[in-house]
Amino acid sequence: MKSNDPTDLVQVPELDGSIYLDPEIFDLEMQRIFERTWLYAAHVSELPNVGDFKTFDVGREPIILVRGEDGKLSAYLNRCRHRAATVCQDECGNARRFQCVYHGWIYRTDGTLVSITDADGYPADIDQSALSLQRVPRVGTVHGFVFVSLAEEGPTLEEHLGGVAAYLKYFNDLAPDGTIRVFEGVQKTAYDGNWKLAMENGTDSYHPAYLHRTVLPPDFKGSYHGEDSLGRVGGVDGHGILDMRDYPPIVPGGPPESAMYLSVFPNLVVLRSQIRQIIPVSVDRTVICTWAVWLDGLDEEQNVQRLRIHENAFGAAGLVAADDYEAFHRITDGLRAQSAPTLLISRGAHREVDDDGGRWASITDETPTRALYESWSRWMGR
Amino acid sequence: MDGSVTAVVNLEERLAVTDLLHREARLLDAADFAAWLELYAPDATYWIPSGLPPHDYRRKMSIVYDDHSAMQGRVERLASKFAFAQAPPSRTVRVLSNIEVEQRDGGGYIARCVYVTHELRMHRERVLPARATYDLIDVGTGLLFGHKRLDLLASNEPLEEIGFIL
Repeated sequence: MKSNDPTDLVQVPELDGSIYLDPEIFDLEMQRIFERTWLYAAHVSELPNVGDFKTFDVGREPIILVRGEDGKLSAYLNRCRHRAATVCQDECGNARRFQCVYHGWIYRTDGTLVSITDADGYPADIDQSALSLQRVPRVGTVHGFVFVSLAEEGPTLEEHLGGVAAYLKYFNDLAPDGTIRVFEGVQKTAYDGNWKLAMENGTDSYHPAYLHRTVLPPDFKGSYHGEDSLGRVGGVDGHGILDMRDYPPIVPGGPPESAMYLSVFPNLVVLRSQIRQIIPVSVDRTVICTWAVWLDGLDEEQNVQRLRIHENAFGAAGLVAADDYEAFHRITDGLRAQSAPTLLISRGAHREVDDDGGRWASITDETPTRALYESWSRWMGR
Repeated sequence: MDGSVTAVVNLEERLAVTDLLHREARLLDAADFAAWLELYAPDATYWIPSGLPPHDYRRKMSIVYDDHSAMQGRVERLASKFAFAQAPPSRTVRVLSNIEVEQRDGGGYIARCVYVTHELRMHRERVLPARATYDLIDVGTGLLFGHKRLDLLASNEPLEEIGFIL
């Protein structure tokens, strides 16, 4: 590492390029951010019934999120207490039990060990209750968004989200009936580049008029720049916000979409008709899972239209996303020129104003990115 | 689709169908997207499902579900010089094999094949194996595609950008 203190590498508005390239920084990010703070895990609509589960990694640890017989969501390490094999291989599904295939130990969906194969090999008074699947300390839900934390202690979910919770509610309340659901299925994409590029991108509104010019309406750029710009960007409690609610729709005459874009540190992006989970794989490899969202109370045709508009723009073959991934690849390539080590996130810093519990600036400014690095520095410095 | 099969096709029909499949692959390899689109009927659809079966394009996320106007949009974008994900463009070679052709109720044909796309871009080569299914419509003057579906081997895996038309 270039410095013993990683926060030395983020001197806003300058970022040292090594934060995107150094495997030691990545390991520290896993320890200090992903294995401690609150991570987006699922939308409640993915697990509506008792026994519904999904598996994924939190930081570097495989976990199972499951709706138990008590109707509540809990999470467990996906690791048999005997010899560490995973006890669930499916990405999602419904289960009454999780069984390790190596020696056949069986666990309930509340994590308790119910069966040790040939138990007479252990003392009769063995304490099975001490051999439950290890529980993930904290699981919380805010406006349908489910988060988990591997840390016993730390900020509560409400403290972590701060003012951004109100905007998650806004996203949910776009549904006429007040509830949203994710469509079945997920788009999985990957790029060779650091996870932070995807988080920054979610609320960077400096790039679309250039990078995405092939898919924006012709009058888009006109209302995008200058004193008369509609909308604004903000940093609220270490998360990025792009507010285009009074902006002309990207697809004229289309169904309702959220014009409030959110980058919720460290792994959630919410915008238009979608929820994105950013999954760091290594310092230069990232996976993104994207779900499209159904609005309850909106008619089926309009919901399907939302899905079509989403697919056309996002996913591996999406006309918007393909160019974003291209930009990430070019950044990763350019970062190799380490003789000029810094990146600049200064845009609009001179014109920020305090409002609504955050700092706000003009629509193309980099205030959201600066907010994400406030969070990064806070967690990396601990 | 299996239920709609009524008769085995004759050799001439089979040749006409396989010719069209091969022509499409050649036009895509040549990045002649405007000519490619002319092989599609005005109400054609083009589908790449995401995840594992069962698939339902109205209830489940897809990688691509284009109607003709969305296909047209892709073609125009690729012609625009601002499709940065294709600057420089991918070079591709498609291999079609295991071709089966059946007649379908109400005229036209169903074709199935193995559809392997080799892509070279930015000095990196990748292979995208798929199973393809086509509906072909006889419009009197010849055959047009009414529907194309690609079931990627990696449909449930994280995919890197696909900036060209697969």
